[in-house]
Amino acid sequence: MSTGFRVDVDQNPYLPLGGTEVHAVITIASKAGAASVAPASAPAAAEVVIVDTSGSMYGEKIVAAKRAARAAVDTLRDGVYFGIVSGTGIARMVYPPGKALVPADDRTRAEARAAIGGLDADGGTRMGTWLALASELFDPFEEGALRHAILLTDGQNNETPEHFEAVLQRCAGRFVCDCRGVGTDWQVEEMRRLSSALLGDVGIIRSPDRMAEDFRRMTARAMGKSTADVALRLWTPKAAEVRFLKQVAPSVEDLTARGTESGPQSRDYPLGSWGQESREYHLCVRVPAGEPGRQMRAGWVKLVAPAADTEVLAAGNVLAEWTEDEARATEINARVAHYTGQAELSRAIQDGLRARRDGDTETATARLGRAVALAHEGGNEVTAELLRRVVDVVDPATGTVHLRPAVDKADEMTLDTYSTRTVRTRGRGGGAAPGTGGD
Amino acid sequence: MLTTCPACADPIGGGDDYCENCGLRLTPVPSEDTGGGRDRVEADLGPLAGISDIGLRHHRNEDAMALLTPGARSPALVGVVCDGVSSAPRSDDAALVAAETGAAETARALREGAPANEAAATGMTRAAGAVAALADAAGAPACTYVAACMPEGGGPVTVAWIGDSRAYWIPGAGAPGPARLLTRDDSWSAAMVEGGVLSEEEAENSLYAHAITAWLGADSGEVEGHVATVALQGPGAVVLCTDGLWNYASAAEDLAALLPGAERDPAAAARTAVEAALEAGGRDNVTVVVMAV
Repeated sequence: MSTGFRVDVDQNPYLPLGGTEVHAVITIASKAGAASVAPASAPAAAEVVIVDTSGSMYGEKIVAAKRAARAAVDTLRDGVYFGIVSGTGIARMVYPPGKALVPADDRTRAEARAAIGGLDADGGTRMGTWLALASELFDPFEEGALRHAILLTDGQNNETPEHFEAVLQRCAGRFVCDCRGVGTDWQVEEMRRLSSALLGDVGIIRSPDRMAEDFRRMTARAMGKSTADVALRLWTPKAAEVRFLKQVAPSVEDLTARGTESGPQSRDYPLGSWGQESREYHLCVRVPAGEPGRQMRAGWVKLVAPAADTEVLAAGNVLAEWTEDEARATEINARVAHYTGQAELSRAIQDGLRARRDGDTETATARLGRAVALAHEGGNEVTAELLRRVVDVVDPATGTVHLRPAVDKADEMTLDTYSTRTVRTRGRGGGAAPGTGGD
Repeated sequence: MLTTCPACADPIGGGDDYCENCGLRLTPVPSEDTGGGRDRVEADLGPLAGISDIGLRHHRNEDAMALLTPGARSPALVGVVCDGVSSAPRSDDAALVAAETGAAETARALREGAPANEAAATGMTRAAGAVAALADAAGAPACTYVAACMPEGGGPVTVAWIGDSRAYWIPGAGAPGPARLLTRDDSWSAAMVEGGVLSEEEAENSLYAHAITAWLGADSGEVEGHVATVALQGPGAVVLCTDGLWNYASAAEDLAALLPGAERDPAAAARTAVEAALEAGGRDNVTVVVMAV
């Protein structure tokens, strides 16, 4: 029976004698064919739009934010439960007036549009209280329902990191949240922490007039999800250790610390909701070394979801086999190599920008130079272009760069928000090209 | 029947090939699978000939080819070469199924009166469907595809491809114009060179030189193949090959030098080319099909 999902494992299973580290790239995809997402079978869905209405939003930004919130409301399909929250020092219901989401229809959409018109910019920024209200609104919805929020802000959070972190911990797994920053007074790292904890993405809206289109797209994408609360269940052998599990495409996200025990030698890593899409993961498992010829399962990857008819949507094996053939054992799978580079690229950009902000020119030059070389090698054309706005590139192959003396703040923030994005390739595995030293 | 795991002595639950405790594979499979006698395959049909060879470094021949000459089954010369993607499981099956399906379906479409470019596209689409159907819980086999077809008695040659297996034109003695590449790789390096990001040399030396950006397989997503019909002034030969050959002679004139007299004796030329690849190291499976024009 087909569940519409598949798990594919790409790896070199061969280990040298004494070798203990098994790497694999795992592709999880829902099969093409929209038939499986017929409206009749669409899961229950809830959407909350959170608009920052602090004093700094006054003027063009609040006008654009209202337009964007209306665009999001217009994109909701009939029957999706929704609400609008305005955030300042406190969180307030804009629509509906009470703390219970209402299903979208022509009447509620019109009422919501009118209520959005009354928004004023005035007050502080305490995002933890906004998220807490959103979480409360999602409470009545069961596991398996799609629960999605959009959070728009233009400034920094005025809460202690400890308080904010505690709220994120409470909200994680309750709903998915995409974040958008408008202007250049917000902090990319703060928003990345939020979206990462809530399995969403973060983006910069450089010009307020683009906001409505962006909101429409985000809402449409949330509506396009067909399976909520998907998790990767990973079985590993006794005495094995999961060194890391990272999402590596379409963006880098370290999931290692997010696993919760789900059975003997088994942990579940939440992946959020899933539509017609494909994501890739890099798994590294450490196993005890075996004798030549021994074959083992180093990891058993299963995809599970609470609302599915069958418990396991798809599964795949990560294998290990010890061999005396050194050429086989040392060949690095091309996709593993590619995504190792992509993860390092993301780190190099974030390290480099942080050092640059801290005035550490030497580290910034070294790390951003490394990023340029990795982007060049990995085929990350957009990232390479964004890097060129922050550094002058002398030689992209070696990563020789000079920091630019004057950089547009929005350019720097765009690079920062984009730093986790990766590009895909499919390794051929076949013979090494002349000159790559494959022999 | 085992009742406890030979490695960790844990009781075996059954229903799976691996120990539930330590992961040991309980029914080891031979790792030296030779791929069903495909180490070396030769075919000589006169104007159309081909060789597929395992090479010197690989344990299995994951290339495949299929050849048809005019007769009851085909109104035209049809040649197909496929290269299994080693990083996918059972890619040798994918290559064989794709080559055989592609050749048969191209010929069938031609027989039913379809124009050559349409027939070549149909053949490739059906091959894609056949490869996608191989996918199961163990994974999605994948391969490249390059095909050429020419009406009986000569005429324009139609080439169809996806991935980085190639078709070249090699003019014989007295034919006008130089040797040239008729296909454009769906590869990371080709995209880099086209985008002006890397030089051809840098791209071919890159770690990702062999990463392809399109292939046949259930996990390939929406894939667009390429079809081109070219008027060729003979005598000469169209050569289809996998990267096991062109890695050693990428430029058209270098490749032409490996196949002397291809238009006169396709089988001998294919043999010479495969020998050259083996002498140069035979790092990958090598497959060459030569069609005299």
